[in-house]
Amino acid sequence: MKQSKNWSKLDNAAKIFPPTSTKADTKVFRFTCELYEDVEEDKMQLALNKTLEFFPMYKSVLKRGVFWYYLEESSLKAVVKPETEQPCKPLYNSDKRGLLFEVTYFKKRVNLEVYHALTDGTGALQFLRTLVFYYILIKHEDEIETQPFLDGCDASDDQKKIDSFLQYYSKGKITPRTGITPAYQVKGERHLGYRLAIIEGRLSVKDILRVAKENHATLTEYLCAVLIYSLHEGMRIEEEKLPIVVAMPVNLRNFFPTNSARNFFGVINISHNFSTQGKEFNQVLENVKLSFKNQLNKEHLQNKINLLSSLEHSLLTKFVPCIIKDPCLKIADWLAKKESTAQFSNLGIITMPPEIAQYIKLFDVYSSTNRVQVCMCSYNETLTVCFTSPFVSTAAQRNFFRHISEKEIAVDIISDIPSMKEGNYE
Amino acid sequence: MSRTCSRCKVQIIGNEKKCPLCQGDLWGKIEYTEPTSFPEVPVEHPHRTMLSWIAFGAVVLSIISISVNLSFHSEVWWSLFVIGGILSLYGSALLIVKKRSNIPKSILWQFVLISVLSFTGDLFTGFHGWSIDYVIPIFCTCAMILMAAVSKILKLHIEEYIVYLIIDSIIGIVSLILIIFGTINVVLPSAICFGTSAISLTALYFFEGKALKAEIYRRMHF
Repeated sequence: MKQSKNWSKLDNAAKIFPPTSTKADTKVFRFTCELYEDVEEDKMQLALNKTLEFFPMYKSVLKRGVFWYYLEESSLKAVVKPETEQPCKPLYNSDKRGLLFEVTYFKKRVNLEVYHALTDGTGALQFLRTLVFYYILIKHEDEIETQPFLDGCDASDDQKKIDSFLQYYSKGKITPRTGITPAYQVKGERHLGYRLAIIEGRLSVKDILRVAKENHATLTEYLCAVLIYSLHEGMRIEEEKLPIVVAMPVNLRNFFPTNSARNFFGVINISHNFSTQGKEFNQVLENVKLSFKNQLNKEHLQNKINLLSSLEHSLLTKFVPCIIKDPCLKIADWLAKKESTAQFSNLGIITMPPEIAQYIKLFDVYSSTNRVQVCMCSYNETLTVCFTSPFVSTAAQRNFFRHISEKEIAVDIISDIPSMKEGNYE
Repeated sequence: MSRTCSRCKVQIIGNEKKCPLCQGDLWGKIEYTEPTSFPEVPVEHPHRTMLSWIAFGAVVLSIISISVNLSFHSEVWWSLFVIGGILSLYGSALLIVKKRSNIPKSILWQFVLISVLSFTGDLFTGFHGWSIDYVIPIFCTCAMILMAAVSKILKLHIEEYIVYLIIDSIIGIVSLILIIFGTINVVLPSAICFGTSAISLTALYFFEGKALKAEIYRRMHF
């Protein structure tokens, strides 16, 4: 008798992704780990098979029910492939059964691309760390003498599958949202074929931390202020009436402990109005610091969880079929986008066990987007700040990195810009 | 030595010809001849696909039929029927191309499209009932048989086609109601359609009962 298939509901945050994924914004993000040597395909495949044993959720396909989408276990095989396509291309197609993640490699770099409905950055990072951990173990088994342990990987399958929004949802008092406040929107010519321009800066963690400290700010606060300041150039005076708002996903695991390997993040909005709150960098930074203080606390985030969960669990939302719910979620997503100018994700410090760490150069992370998006993470001594953007103009990126290099910090730039590949500048 | 952009004060890793930030000239020799971070993926330009040709052909044929219709001072606007037919074929072709990787789903969608089109056509030509008498029940039965055959030939998992088979069977069973209420003039096609639907649902229940229940539960969860 055939065993009936395992399946699970989408978590609260994941529910928005299937109806709002488009060719322009695929809701796919990519983690890359750069090694010191070329990647070997067959060994990476062995490592992937081993990793999947710990993350059975990754073998799921996404299906549409009458009321909600859900994840269903599949027997599809995940295959390591050489990278041949553009970063963050669509992974979910409602007409084609397929896994919601992909492992590819290019020379020294191994890429994990994940559809956001499956997990968030923290969850995917855990997967990539495990993958690289096993790859290095397989590749260098003769050289590694003591058994290394990867931290944070001792959760059971059930713990990893848990929907933490449900776990921490309390039907307490909820401060409701107040209307929509539109934010400044970057406009301009876009790259053809829904391509993203990637510009990544690599800098020394020590140097940038020093500058942040001089400004009495944390690294995230400082770089967030630099981003807002960089976006300001090119704004018309008329547009300055609108605030520049940076949406920042916050890893809720830091506030509400869980071992879940699925989505568990909330978004805070950091805003600055150049016409009323000042045009100087210091004024921006002070304002950013204040926003962080007001929003990055347990009460505020608990309210976010309750708000989102109460929406999901209200009878009206529950019993409206997908056909009606999907367009509504599309509109909600569109309205939410009106409220922010750019997105800024800090994936934090990535660590690997010392026996493994020497084989790894750095990690970087990119996300699909239809406006300006910045993702950053640090490994050892290197901080990578990755811009993805559909726009041909690179003004924000230029201002951002020039602001940093002016502080006597060395910046290495790598890039993948579609228009520069066509020989437009030759 | 690596290359620098003296205006942005940054180092450029890779074989870019210009600074990615300011598009200015770089200083220093290109160290790499091949890309090191990302493979070169050519930008896909919107090109003439098969679908564009089909769409173009459909529009041209429609225009020609209107022109011919006009030039012969006909009393009847027969070109509208031609356009209706062309549009139906176009919709059908579009569906096949779009859903080609999921054949059971494609079959169901074709059936739904044909049903809607024939019913509309019937309605606008005085509702003689040929759509519900013949077209819909016959295509419903065919779709069911086709789905069963395809799933056997392609060795599909039950989860990959069960939902489409259930939907098709339920539509088929509706034909019984139409027979009972006397909406249908010619009973035979609908009776066969009802029979096949009821039998396939029964078969699903007895042989794949667990999968059937699980699938319904999954699809209906809230």
